Amino acid sequence: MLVSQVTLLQEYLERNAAKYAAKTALVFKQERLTWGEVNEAADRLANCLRAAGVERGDRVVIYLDNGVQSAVSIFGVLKAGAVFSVVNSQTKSDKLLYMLNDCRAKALITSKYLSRTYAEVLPDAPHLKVAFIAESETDIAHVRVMEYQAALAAASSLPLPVRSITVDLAAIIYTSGSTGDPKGVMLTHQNMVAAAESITTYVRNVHDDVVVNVLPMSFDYGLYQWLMVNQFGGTLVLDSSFNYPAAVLKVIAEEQVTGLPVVPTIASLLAQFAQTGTTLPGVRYVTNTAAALSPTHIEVLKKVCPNARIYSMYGLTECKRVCYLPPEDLDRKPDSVGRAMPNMETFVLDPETQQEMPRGEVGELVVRGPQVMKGYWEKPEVTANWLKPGKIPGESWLWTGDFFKMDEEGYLYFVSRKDDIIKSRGEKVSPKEVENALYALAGVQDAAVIGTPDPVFGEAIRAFLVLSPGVSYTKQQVISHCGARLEGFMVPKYVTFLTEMQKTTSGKITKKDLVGYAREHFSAGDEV
Amino acid sequence: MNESEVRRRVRQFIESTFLGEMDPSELQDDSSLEQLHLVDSMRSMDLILFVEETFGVTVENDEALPENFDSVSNVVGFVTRKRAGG
Repeated sequence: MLVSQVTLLQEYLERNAAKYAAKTALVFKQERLTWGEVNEAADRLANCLRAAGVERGDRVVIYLDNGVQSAVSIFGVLKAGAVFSVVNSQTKSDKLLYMLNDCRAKALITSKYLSRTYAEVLPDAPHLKVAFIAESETDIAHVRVMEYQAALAAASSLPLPVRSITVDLAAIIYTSGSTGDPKGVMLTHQNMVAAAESITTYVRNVHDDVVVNVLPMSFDYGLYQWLMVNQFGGTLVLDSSFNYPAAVLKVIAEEQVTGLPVVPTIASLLAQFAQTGTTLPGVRYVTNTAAALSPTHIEVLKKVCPNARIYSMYGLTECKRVCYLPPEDLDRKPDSVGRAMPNMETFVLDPETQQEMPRGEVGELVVRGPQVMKGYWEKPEVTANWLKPGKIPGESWLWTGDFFKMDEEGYLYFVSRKDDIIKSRGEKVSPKEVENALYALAGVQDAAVIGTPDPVFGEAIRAFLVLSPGVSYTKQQVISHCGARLEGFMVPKYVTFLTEMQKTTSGKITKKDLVGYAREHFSAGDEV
Repeated sequence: MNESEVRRRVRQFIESTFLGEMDPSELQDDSSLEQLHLVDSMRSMDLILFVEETFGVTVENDEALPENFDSVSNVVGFVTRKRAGG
């Protein structure tokens, strides 16, 4: 780790531009940018944003796939003193509009190929003043549109004067909540710098590291790969997905990648390469988060990356990361997600009494540290459920909503979630959000969604439907309907039609029965 | 099977399996399936299986690349090359 005096995220980029101006910072398909070029492009964008009226603290939504434009935009927004929010490019119109209006975004950065989604909602986003859109310059309703590349080319490359301080917001990351409405996790520069410093310390990053990232930067795990590469002055090789594993493996070999962040789904997709003897000997570390690695995944990763240290980790957007399992403990404690990361303290508490649970007994995981979010954007009541006064006067501790136990040596084991959020392909899915989409289908009387164990997805989305008399749909029609309304990872993989669902006296569907039904009927696999 | 028949079958598979409610006229032969968010890792495997089963070709691990599968034209080109023994 480089010892630094950095207080604002963009100082990482500026330090690299000063120290390693000609070194490759970013590789995306055929494009290669040096640290000097990334810094200059970010300064130009900052000037564009400022000239368009974006001031310190204003929110800017970056609605893009992984690529040079999204990576540069994050730092352009920060250099303008504003707050970035990367929104998944698979997000559909309704949710995009919700986010634009929820954070009252003043600017949007996107690309014309996503116009099918953004064009129809911009007229309904009254706070939005300007959009920088690659390959488009036609104004939409009240929103002034500037072509992204042309605007950057015409802008000054001189850095704007810095007025931000470390407790200013740097980012809002939207995360699914059990009520269905996404919540904006507010993170300050201090939160994000602290997280980047801690993770790069335990991963032992050095400035020669080359990290590949196929995870969307709307997902904090994907975003932090870029922030951390900035922290240690390495190189980031970006790809937009892991849809074509062979293509990514080829790039990993060609670019001499040393760091490979995965989620369990990627580990599953690597299995076929392990069988054929493909190896990536240059990879010196693999990180995994979102769900514990199964013994099969660990085996696959060891085969494909024979020289890598494998880190099993746990975290949540609200504090980025909580703990990691030191690679040397992987064989000894494969089910554990390890111990608190540097500069973080963890407790397993009784949710009722708030007293510490005896070792080995299950309680809610509670954390304190500089990485803990400032709260949810304009949701004080929800924030109060998550950030509660801790034992140290004046401090708020984060109640994670996840049940854990801690062993005698202080290692943590995930037990279950308090709410019914599903984790599929490494992303959080709110059953409520999927159910809302299902209810939008005419003739759906009851809809309920649960997670079901899946060897590739971790959990797959399983939908149960009761249709009104005389209505009928095929499973494919239901899946297509959801595909048009939800991000890909939220679309049900399985659909089961029932004639009725058990309900509580208050009329709520009892999902426990559905979980039992799924276990009973589909344990040998689904018919789809 | 000639090239236009390969193209017809590939298009038909993509339209019936991936398009959902999207208007088929929005899918050009050279549109990137990935950029239109029509494929993910599972769907790209479905497309590969379809190609293997329908056209009797074997797709090696290192041939599962966007240049071979990310558009109707890329799939048609790949199938044509494989069937010609390339």
